[in-house]
Amino acid sequence: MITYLYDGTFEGFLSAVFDIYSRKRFPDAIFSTSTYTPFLMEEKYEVVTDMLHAKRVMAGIEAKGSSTIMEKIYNVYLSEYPSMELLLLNYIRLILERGSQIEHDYRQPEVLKVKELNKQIHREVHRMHAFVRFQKTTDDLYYATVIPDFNVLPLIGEHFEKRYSDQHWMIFDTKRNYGIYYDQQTLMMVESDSEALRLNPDFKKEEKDYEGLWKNYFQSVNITERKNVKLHLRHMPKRYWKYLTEKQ
Amino acid sequence: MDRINQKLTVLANAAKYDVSCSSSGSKRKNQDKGLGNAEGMGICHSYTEDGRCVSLLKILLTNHCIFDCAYCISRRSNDIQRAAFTVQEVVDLTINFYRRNYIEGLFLSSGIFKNADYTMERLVRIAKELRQLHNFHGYIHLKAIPGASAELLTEAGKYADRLSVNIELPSEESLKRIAPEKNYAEIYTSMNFIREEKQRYTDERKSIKSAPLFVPAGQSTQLIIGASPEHDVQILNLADTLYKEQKLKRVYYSGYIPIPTDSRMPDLALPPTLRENRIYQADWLLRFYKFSVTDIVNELHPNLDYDIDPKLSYALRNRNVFPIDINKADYEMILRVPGIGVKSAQMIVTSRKFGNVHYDHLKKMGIALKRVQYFITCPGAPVSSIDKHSATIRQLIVSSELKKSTTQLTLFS
Repeated sequence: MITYLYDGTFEGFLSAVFDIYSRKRFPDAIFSTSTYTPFLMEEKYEVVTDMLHAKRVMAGIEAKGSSTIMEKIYNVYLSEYPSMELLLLNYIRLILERGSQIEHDYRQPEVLKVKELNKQIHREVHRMHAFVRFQKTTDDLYYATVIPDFNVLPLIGEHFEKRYSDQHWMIFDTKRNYGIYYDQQTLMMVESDSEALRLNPDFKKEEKDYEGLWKNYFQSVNITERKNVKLHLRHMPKRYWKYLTEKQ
Repeated sequence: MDRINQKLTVLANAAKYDVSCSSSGSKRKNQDKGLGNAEGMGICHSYTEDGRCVSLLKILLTNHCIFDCAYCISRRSNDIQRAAFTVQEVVDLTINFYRRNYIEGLFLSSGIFKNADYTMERLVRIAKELRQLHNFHGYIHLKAIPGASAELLTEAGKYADRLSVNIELPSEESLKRIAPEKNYAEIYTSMNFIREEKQRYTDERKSIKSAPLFVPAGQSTQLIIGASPEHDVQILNLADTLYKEQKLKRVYYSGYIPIPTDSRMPDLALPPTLRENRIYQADWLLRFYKFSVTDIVNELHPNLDYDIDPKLSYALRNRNVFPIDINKADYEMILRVPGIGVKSAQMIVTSRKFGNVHYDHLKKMGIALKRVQYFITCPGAPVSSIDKHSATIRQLIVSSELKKSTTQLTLFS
């Protein structure tokens, strides 16, 4: 059994693809260090993350495929789908061998799976656009916590930057323990031990007032004669309620 | 805060019967590090327990009204609590809700106080203040009050992403009976004016990039379903005309909700939500599936079949069109197959360039074979299905879906 081990980063994965092609040894499994368990009779290769290698693989995919295909690949990486590495390797192989057109042949299982995962990722991104709720702290920071199904924070920053370019805000993923922070100039990633997080956790009185007004609004626009809890739950699954001010 | 809360209760409650919730299709971008961005897709930030989307802060400026429209909760003769927001209050609520990511923007309507211009002027003032004083680039939907002056409508169109004039009743006769102070002439005058102005600004933008936006997300309207005797064929023909001639972006349908008795109104126990849903499905067929109204309803079938969706209904009435060969038929014909949506049809059409699409591929693409099997041919498809009688197919599909819905019901009971 041939296995490849990489550091779990996207660049690390692309470096693995580079090594697989240059060594001409195709793997049975690719693991990130955090998910790795050793096998008996294993031919293990440890990938060293190399930015230049990663860039060359990216350039190759964009040349034979397209930048849209590259985006799809990145999205699948963020999906945390088990064995996504092998799926992506096979997908990349298909693109490199048959060109960008093949991404529309949904008879190919890899093409279909990549499309499905992308659809799920887009839905989760859209849910974050919808369900993030900011609370204003006494430091005038608009702060939100989320636990998305997939690792979508890298995909949502730009949306919030465009819309809240005149406020300080942070969205923190409490499951993956990092956040995105915008200081009215730059969008950046922040770890749980970073300076930006040492904020005053108190909220202003006006925060409670607006939350109250929003809850009141949410109740007032409901039409009781049309009650349809099934539809309500389909659009707003219970696992998201913990973020939602109106559902507290 | 208590006072604002009270006003919000009254004026959100009064606005909720306007079903438009869209916040999509605008081209307004954030500028000069302002607040908000309304380009691109709409976002539903929440859903109420009736399953409806909450995208905008949808309120009336006031529910004081000089009109006495029988379908409307705010009608003059109805004994209800009245309230009015100040301009500042609406601006504060919009900005503060928007900053917390509760909403995409504002949907502002109003009861008619004094006259059309007086009312419209106040709606415009709020939109103007949001845009100019607060550098707000979120979505704004304003009601265009029928009969408001051209100057006010022009100004409204510059600040708003969408304007809507509600037709409400699907025939002029019903409108006269139910809403005596309204008339089609005034409604259409406003609608025509907005359409022509939008066209003028669009043409101008072709040569001058910096020309201002004018209702970039277009116009919409609302029709009330079940408050008057019109058949579905009249309703859908009206909608079709509105899409084609008035270039409306959306026609919304609102199942009439029985509100405290007015003798001019039918006595319904429940809002006709099933009929409303079928009309929306038919509307979808007109806009995205290249159906014509006569494909769906006609003199022989003036009303939709409420037990099955209109696409299935069409297919069962037109068996001569089917079965369709998935690997050869035009895209338009594939779109007509019950169980195949726009996305599935596109997947089929792009995939078959590489080789034959098999029945098994359709299954893996997530296409509903339970429906599709009776209307298509492709390698691997069950041959026996396409020879069944329409009545049998109808029964098979209805009963399989009934089974599904009862098991789902028990999940929640």
